[in-house]
Amino acid sequence: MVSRLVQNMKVMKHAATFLLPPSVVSATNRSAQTYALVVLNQQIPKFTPLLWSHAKLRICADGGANRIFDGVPKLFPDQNQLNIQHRYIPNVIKGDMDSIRPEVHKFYAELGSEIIDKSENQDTNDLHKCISFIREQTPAWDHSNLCILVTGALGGRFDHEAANLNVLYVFSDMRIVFLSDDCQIRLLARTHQHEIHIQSTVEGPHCGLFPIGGPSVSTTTTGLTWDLCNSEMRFGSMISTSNKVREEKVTVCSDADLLWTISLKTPIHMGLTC
Amino acid sequence: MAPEMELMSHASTFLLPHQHQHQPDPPALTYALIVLNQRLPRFAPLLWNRAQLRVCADGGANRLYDGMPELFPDQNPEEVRLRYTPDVIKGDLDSIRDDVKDFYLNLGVRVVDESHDQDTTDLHKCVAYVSNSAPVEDKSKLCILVVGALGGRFDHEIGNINVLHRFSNLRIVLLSDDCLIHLLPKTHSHMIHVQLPVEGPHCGLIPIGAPSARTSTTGLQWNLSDTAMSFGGLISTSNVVKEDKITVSSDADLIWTISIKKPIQE
Repeated sequence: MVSRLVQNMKVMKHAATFLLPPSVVSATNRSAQTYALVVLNQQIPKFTPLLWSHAKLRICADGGANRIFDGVPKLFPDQNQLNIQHRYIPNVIKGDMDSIRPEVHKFYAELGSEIIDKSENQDTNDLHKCISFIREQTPAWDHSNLCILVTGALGGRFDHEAANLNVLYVFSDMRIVFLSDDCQIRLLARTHQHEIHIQSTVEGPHCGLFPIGGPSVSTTTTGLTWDLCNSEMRFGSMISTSNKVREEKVTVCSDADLLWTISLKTPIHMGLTC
Repeated sequence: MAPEMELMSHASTFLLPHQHQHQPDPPALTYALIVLNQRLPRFAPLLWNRAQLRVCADGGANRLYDGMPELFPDQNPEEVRLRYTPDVIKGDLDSIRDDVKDFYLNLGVRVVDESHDQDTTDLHKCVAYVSNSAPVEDKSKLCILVVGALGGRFDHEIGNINVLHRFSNLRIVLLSDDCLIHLLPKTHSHMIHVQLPVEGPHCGLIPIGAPSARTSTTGLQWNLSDTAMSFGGLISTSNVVKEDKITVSSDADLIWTISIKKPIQE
């Protein structure tokens, strides 16, 4: 039954090329992805400037602006802090503005950040609003090649983390990647067969697949140390944690939406002058 | 919801400073503490004092060795370490430092190498050990407190949450500086006695692993009333406790989470 599903399902390819220096990415003939970056209100990963350099659109969700303002200069301790702050200006700051500090708000507003101050809908969180905004405000972009990178989605209060993970499910037709210093997370939607091209200089080997939305009756993988073969996965029983990537290409095919996570090899070489 | 479902009560009285302890409702529980490999929360000594059995999972021993003296900066580190010595250190022992292992071995701590068993996580092994070894006859009176289970590598965090589901008949609470989480198994209806001096007001109910067709609550700002919850749909996050008794009834296992107030005074 799984093989019949496989024939009908389109393949979706994933590659964390946003973790490679821009010079390396452009030198190779990779299909162009357009990146957007959303910065939430947790400590930024050390490689945030690299993500920033890949992104065409950079959005801070409310207190995420504090994190850029305070955090990016610390990543370039030998450089003039104000110069760094001037180089990392978000395009947009969105949210209900109850976390952003007044001096940070003023600094970015004066330097051209679009401040969208709307406490409209209390049913959706900051990340949800930012994803919706990106989708609506970029009609000219090819959304099938859009990948939204998110920092600060994990850690802190568990209900915030769960709400952010839920955003991956709500927008399951979009490419959204959560990044922290330790790992990255994506949703592998059940609608597709997935190929993950491992960038082994920057990611792995630890990985996992989790059916947090609901059990999987049948999941099959290739390229992992402990591959699944029509395996059932559910909470309370077996889920794939502490697995390892064994090959440069990992494939996943499942009847359920799965969260894929892979560890990062830090430090990530950014290849940036500042 | 079947009205005959047995009621299970919960109360984070283990977070209350000792002088505020009264005869708690539900009846007194026996606590065990498991320390995993993340930075200790600032109230770790409070949990330690409640526990009758203390277990470190592998690198958790490093965190205890380094972290407890940091929580008592005015005291002699060696004396602090002697006061906070675990009963057992367990796991595959690939993270524990040699100097830490030797220190605890010299104090008579049992160090159990389980690297042969790659099928279960360190937390799973420690929970199984505590369940078998804790000085309590009735497992429903045992409550296992775990620090270091949240944060860090995401697959570890998810694996730790799965331990709650795999041992759904045991009370296991995962704690961080910011919040705690525990399972509300679908086999019971639940009453949560909120300890307002130390926890809240932010809370949530999350159906991890399987959706809920019907969940009902009382005592929250945004109560559920036979409400469906699922990933991809509605989950209850950024909710607020409004009363000091919260009831929850569901057809699915739910993760309850509540924020922890800062600072907790020892």
